[in-house]
Amino acid sequence: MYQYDSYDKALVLERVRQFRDQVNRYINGELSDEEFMPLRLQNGLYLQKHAYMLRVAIPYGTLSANQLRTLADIADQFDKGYGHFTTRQNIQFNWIELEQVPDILQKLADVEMHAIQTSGNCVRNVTTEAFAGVSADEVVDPRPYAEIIRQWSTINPEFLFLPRKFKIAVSSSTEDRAAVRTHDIGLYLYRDADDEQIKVKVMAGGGLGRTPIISELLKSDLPWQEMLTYLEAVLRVYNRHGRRDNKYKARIKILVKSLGIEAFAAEVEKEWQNLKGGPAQLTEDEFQRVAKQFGIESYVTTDSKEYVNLLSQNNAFANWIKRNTHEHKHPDYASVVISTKPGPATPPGDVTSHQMRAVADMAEQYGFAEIRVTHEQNLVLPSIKKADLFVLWTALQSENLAAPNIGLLTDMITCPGADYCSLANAKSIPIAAAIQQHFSDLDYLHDIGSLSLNISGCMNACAHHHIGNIGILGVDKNGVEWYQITIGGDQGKNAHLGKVIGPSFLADDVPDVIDTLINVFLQYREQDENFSDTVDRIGIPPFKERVYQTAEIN
Amino acid sequence: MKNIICLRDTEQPLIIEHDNWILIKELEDIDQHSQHEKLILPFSVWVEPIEHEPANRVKAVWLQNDADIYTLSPWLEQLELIALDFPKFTDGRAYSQAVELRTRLKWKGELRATGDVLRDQLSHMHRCGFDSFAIREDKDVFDAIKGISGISTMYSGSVLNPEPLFRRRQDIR
Repeated sequence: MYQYDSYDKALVLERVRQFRDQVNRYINGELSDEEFMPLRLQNGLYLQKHAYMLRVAIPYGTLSANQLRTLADIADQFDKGYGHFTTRQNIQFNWIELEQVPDILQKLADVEMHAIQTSGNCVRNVTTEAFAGVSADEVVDPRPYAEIIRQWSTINPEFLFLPRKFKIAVSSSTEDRAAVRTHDIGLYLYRDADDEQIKVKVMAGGGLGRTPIISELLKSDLPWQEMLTYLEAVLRVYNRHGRRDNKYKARIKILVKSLGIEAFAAEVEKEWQNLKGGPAQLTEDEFQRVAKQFGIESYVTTDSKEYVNLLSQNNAFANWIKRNTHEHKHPDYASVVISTKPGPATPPGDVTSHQMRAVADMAEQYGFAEIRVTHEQNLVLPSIKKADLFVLWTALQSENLAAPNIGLLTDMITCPGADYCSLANAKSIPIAAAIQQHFSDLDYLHDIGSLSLNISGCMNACAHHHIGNIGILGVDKNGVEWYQITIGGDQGKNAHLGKVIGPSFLADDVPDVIDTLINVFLQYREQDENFSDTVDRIGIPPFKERVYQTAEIN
Repeated sequence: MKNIICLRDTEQPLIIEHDNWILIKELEDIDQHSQHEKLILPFSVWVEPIEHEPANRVKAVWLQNDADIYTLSPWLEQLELIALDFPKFTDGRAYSQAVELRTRLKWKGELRATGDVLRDQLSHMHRCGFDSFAIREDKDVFDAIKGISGISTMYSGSVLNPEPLFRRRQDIR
């Protein structure tokens, strides 16, 4: 994984000193709340319902074992012994004291981590998919590209006070597992069939929140060397022309929609003419330098005969392998997904310090000391020898980390909701727990098959409920929490938004409604269709009819 | 103007507690001043014909942050100072205006940040091409000056140093 060089180290250390000074000035009354707010946000610090929340950057979701141990130490020393992994592949600590933040940031800097630009109206943590660099279906490793963008966007002075936050995602595999099309800018890397060069397909104006929009094609064939010059053009056009009168209309998607993608593309193109080929044009040398910082894993060919035997003998193991592993580019390896969602007692994405240390140990013992965070809030050990999978599975079981439910209904994406978040209209964790409780039969879950269920506690949509096969959105009606349900959403290259099935429900009714939706699906399902396939084929009405019919009888 | 930090023609930032420029934001304020004073006039007012202030005598202009900087191009020759506006320090449009003025219009004269100009944003403004800063008047300019240097590592290029780090670093060309 990426190793800092002397510049990266100097930057994070200086940033800690700078923020320590800003915190002191705030405590001494030299900075007002208003003046301090963007400074703390750009260092990942939110003021939530009960305490400060610190969001630590995990660039493109990649962690070393050592870094994960440091996160465990921070959870113990400064929080309540756990952390929450987020849909932006970051980690949040929910119970933080302001005075201690500079010390936490120093601990992070000591292991080449930071919280820079994890919030604020600036370019946020660049994301890619959790299997970057190891996936069998990958055209090119997206991580060096993501790192180059991370560096360029870090404290880039022109773009720190944009109209609103700005999220960039990069994907370079056949399947888009990075939710690229719901990002302000999404980059699909591909190899041009004509000249064999890596090109970038630039998507613009995606985003969820109050106005969910799937991004549109901005430029189809950008040479990778012009990635930064082009991003600069996009950001300058956005910084100059994005709306600032209403924060709910300030994202780039609103600008793209109001101008139309052609007019927006023309503006960007005009700006880019001044920049392309200029000093920010990337060079092969720079690319190689960054790529080298990631190191090279030396995979070894191993005998997997014993593994194949175990698969046929042990059903539980075989089930876990089927759901929780991903095809590796090396035939003797697999990527392992560790579910953070074993059941109703654990809020999705929450991992205890004890579990973090255990995962760090396993990563060291079996997996090149590397861990990834997925945007579905799970953890990944990217490169595990097939011959080691059984012993790893056993170790994970003893830490309550072996739930074989990846991609199933209970692998739900959930925001912290009104239990923690001051923006939320409704709780999301108890809804997740109630659904987990209701669907605790593993065999039944496997019968239902792949299904994404996303729960957001407000329309800011941190849990991406619009692109869940089933989406649940908490809304407040006169002080009572209600839940609106959408179905038919999907992520990926052909991402689309779900449709609302009808009036909202009270919290207690949600598990039964989900149950009814599943029953309709099972009744209409043809062959081995997934939930989303069936919804695509038969539409919303059969689901709607049954849900509201049942509701009336009750 | 009061509370000025100036970086023009100097290695070390200079504090000027009062300089001779007078910033006029509204047309009606202009009557209080004589033509012998050094006025910074709002662009919209200035391009309207004003009896005692012919356009060709104007030496300094104040531009709102939603204005297109290219409207200034015919006038650059006669100007000594351009002031850009930060109505709120969180409104970052003038950063891009400054970059465009310096890199596209090749403006070499003084570029002054006005409005909600505070210590913790000065290094960003400086890197985007501002070389004088009218610190918000209720703030201590001697404290604000500490904000000029900022964080020394800069990955991207800037107006001050157009080359990104990867072209500046020693270990690679």
